[in-house]
Amino acid sequence: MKASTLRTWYAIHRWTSLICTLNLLVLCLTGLLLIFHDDIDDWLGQGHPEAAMAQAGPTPSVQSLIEVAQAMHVGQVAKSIFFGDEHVVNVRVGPPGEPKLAIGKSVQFNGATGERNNTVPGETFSGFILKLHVNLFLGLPGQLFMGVMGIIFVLSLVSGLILYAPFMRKLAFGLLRFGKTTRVVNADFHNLFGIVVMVWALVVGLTGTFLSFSPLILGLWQKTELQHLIETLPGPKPSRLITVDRAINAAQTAVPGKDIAYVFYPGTEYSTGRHYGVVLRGHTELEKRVFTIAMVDAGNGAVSAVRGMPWYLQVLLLSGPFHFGNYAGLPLQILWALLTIMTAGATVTGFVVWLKRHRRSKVVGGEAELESALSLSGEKT
Amino acid sequence: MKGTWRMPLLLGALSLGGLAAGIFGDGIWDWLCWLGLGIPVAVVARHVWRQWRVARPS
Repeated sequence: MKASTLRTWYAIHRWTSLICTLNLLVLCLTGLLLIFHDDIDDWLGQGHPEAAMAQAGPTPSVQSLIEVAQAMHVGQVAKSIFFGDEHVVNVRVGPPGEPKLAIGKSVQFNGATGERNNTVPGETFSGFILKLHVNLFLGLPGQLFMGVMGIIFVLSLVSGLILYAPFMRKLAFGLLRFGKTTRVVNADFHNLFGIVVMVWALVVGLTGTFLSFSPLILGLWQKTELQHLIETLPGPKPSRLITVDRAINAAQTAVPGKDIAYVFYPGTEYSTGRHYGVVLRGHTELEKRVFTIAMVDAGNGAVSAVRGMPWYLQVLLLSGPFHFGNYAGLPLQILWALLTIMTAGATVTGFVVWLKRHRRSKVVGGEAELESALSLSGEKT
Repeated sequence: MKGTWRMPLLLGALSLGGLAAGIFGDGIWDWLCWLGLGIPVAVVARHVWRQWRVARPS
């Protein structure tokens, strides 16, 4: 590598890293807690109650759950339903005529028994940590800021990868020169931690960035594919809606062998004015993240359209597990935590290397700083 | 050059394989996932421990 190229990458690595250092430490710390959020919730008594074993009785209709939820929030109407693991059915109600799902309230049921799940009122500890992780309590602008930080983090990783060879050319992999100066020891740790977490950190960084931009990505789908459906499936809102159970049955007949993930009512942001948007998914860990949406006419129960998800929504849906590390049991969660700690270690040691840089470089310029950095690699004595 | 990249490439490939394996299913896939990500972590632990022992023989 030419000296000038090396100097450029060194500058990119230093500045991108410095910009996201503090942010990254917050993400590592909060992320570390979030890996175990289920256990923390249970431990604090803020978890979901254990789902009661499905009783022998008949499964209640989804419509009956909707009616209970609407009766609890008088004047509000059903907007969407989410079907989760362990029979969780989450019904969202909101003001009539309001397309935005965010404006509304949720009622959670055990779909097998029809009983209401008592959710914790107010905010849970995990919920608080999650907000700090996702948007620093700054709402959508905060979330997009985190996305930009994610891009800078990925740049810092890539530049670090490019610098690895010139810095490690004369050093054995994993060499730690304990007993040398603080700067040397920290640089050795930085190189070891950095290169070992590289692939994992790139995956977690990129998926996290993608998740940060999810509101924009969903918006893109709404403005293109969904808008196209709304235009090609015209029709006024029917005076009487068929029951949601009929809509679900129609969707499952049209797309057999799948589970229901979501139902969006007519007139909400993920459906047309006339159709139920019924989202179906497969059963396996992978297929669970492959969605199909069936547009069911709320007037006559006909399935008007069935659509897959565009690649960018598919990538977004698959980003979840690869960011959270929740797809292969407790051992993976523990490894996820260890890799998070190692990433934080690379961040801190890298910062120390910068702190302990040779001050004379201020006078001589970047040249000397790079030389002093390269001296860590045994290039100079 | 070759020597410099041998371990990083090996560990990177293991990480990538491990990350992917877990999503394909349970049982053997989960084990492949744990191995793929576990080996790089173990390699770091071994390097730190051994060199620490040599540096501080007490």
